[in-house]
Amino acid sequence: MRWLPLALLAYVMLGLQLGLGGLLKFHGGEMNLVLIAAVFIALNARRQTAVPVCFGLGLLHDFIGIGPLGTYALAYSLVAVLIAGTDRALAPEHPFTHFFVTLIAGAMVAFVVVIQGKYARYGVHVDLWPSMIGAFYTAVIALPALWLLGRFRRAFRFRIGG
Amino acid sequence: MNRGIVHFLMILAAAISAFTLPEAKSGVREVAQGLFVPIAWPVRAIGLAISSRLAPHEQKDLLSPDKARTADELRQQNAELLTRILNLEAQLDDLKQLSAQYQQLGTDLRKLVQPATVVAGPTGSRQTLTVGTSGLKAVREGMAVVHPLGFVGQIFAVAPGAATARVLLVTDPQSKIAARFFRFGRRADGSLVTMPVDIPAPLVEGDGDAMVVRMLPARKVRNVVKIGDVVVLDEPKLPPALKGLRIGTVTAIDLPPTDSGHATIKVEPTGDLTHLHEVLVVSK
Repeated sequence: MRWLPLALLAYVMLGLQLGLGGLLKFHGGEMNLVLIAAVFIALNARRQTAVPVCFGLGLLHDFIGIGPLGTYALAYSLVAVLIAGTDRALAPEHPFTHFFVTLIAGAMVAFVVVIQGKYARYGVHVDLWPSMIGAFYTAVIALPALWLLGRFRRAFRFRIGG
Repeated sequence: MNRGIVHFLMILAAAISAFTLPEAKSGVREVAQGLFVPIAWPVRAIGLAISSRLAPHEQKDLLSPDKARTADELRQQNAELLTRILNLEAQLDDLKQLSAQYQQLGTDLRKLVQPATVVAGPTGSRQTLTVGTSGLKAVREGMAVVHPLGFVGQIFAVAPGAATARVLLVTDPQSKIAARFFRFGRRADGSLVTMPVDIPAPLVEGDGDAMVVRMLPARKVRNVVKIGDVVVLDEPKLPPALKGLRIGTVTAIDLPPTDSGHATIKVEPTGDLTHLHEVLVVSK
């Protein structure tokens, strides 16, 4: 796997997330472009690569926020554990896969953020339903975003397989 | 070491950090966020331009939140306001004393309030804005951030070198600010008047997109606070000149069936604070 395109992807997605944060809300739900990048990596890379890369993406997402470090790192790592290596069972290029996998990943992230907000020592309350709407919204945005990222897939030189 | 164990340890470390550690406020985090500004700022400017074209922000009618006033009503009230302005001009002499106090500060008001461009929005479930502060002087944590819409929030963290600063919005769950209620009313002659609402000074807490006032005794709120009441700043830690600055409007009141419990009052800001282009940092 090539690291320069990966770093560029992370930089662009985190920059877009920062720039568009708060602007593209739908019924209180907010899209998560960094999650789309994590799903792209998890769908295409081997698990042994996807887990640390998604962990790093999550850590960066935590780092540019104001909450405790680890929330998104935990969520994206779990997403990678769940999705990576399932390429034999899924069709990683199919739009339905993109939508459904991002929806599940978004729901997982929402649960982690809500549970962290509720039970963490320094957690801040987050409502579940806006987070779930955000997961659905992200899944819709993932259709064109993952299609576009798929055009550049070769630049990453992913090695498919468990 | 087995990669599976390494992955497990990474996830475990993330979980321990997320669930036990407090938020780490550090200059490094602010610098890291500043690295993304070359992408975030232009994208945000384009996003705001498109957003204001496609879904222009509707200013709420503060005096009649339930039913927008007609053009005739607005003309009549405009005439009343002009009369009121004439009256107020007569009271300007009193304000000259206040002006003298500002002069004692050794600077003019423009130096107290510095405009800053919003370069990035919230990144997750927290309500923050990032403002570019390269042209500003002496931006520090805790300074108030305002806008013509009203009070926006406070500076939460400043990057070393003060290139950017993070604003904790008044709608963030961590934000707690002292406030008071008042409402617009009419005198017998029909002229407008502002009336303080007689309840204990509330603490307005952020609640995501809006704010909430909790723990006010229900018996003191019932039939006293009404939907449409205005909530204004009364925070002793902030400069006195900001007292009375609008925070939001009461949009819902949740009362228990009996007077023994506590009321929950929902307060919404006048506009979407995450959509702001520019804010003013009150630096003294």
